[in-house]
Amino acid sequence: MAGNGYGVDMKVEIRLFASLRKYGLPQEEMELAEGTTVGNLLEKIGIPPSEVAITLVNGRHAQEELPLNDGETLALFPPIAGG
Amino acid sequence: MMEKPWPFSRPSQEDDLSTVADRDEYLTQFLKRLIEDTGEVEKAIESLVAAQGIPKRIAESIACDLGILPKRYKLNAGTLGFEGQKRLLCSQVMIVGLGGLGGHVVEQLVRCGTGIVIGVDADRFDETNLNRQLYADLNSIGRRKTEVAEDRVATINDAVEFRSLACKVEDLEDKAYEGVDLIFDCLDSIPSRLYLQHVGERFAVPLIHGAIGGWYGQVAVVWPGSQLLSNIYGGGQQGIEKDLGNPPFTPAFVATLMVTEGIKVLLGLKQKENGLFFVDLLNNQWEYVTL
Repeated sequence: MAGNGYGVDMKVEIRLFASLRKYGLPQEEMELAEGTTVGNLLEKIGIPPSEVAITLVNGRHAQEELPLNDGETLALFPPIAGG
Repeated sequence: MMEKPWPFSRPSQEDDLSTVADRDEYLTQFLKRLIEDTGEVEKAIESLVAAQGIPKRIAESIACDLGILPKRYKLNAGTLGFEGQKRLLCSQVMIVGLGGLGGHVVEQLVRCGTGIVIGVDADRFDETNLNRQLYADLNSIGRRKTEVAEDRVATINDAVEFRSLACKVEDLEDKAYEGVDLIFDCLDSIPSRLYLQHVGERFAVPLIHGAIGGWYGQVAVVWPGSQLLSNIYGGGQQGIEKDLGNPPFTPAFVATLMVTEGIKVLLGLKQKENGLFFVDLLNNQWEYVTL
């Protein structure tokens, strides 16, 4: 998608799992500026990085620095460690 | 107790039982005749154990070779098969952590007929365990978890050899892992889980990882070398259970998943793949992610 002058260059689907659902809808499409990274998006949604254990972009493990692309899906899972 | 006179000619002492293969065949034939004689596999197994001084789990595995199962395993047969039941009886597993997950994991493995079960936990039961830990009850408060598990196992399946190790996993000596085919990670702290991953790598033993928090849980097979737990936990020190606690239904559910995954590994029914089951029991959501 070409730039439209309003800083909205791409759409990314966000999927929030388990306790992270409190930060938004379980599945939502967001419009983002080109170059937005996983970390930027977490900040935009308001999720502290410490509450995220697994970050997947299109089903692949991703780091916070990874820039997102139009049409991708970001899935976030919290840390679970009880026994 | 007087030994019963045998109704058939027993092989003489001079028979060559020096090689394992011969001894296996000898024991198999011995059991076959005992079954023919008594008409009951359970009695025949007890007699074989008494006459040959072998562990009951081995006697039961010999019955599997004959295509005969003790009644206690009859309803396993259609799912596990004789060969699968034999493999389980000849398997040695370690369960690290005998709390919410570990109690249910021990219980199911013992009922399945897993030959040797090693339980590791340094703790004693307290009142906060009563809501979810299978072996926590009014009589077990204050008792060592390993001790209570051992007593329980003896009342369910006396063919299973349960070994208690009442210490932290970090304090186990190398010899504790000798012969272990599979380790169940039922721990409740991230640093200890990462330590256990290191142990699995060192001894080339896969782990069945399970973790719970509130309505949520996760299960994974951690193959040696995969570093799966490092990928999941990164540098984090705590999980959502700190705030959400652990209600009774999630551990039972996740432990069941752990046992099914574990049995598939033991029976060679599991492909080596690095993935994680993530379960949300509040929204009935189930995700499998590859990592």
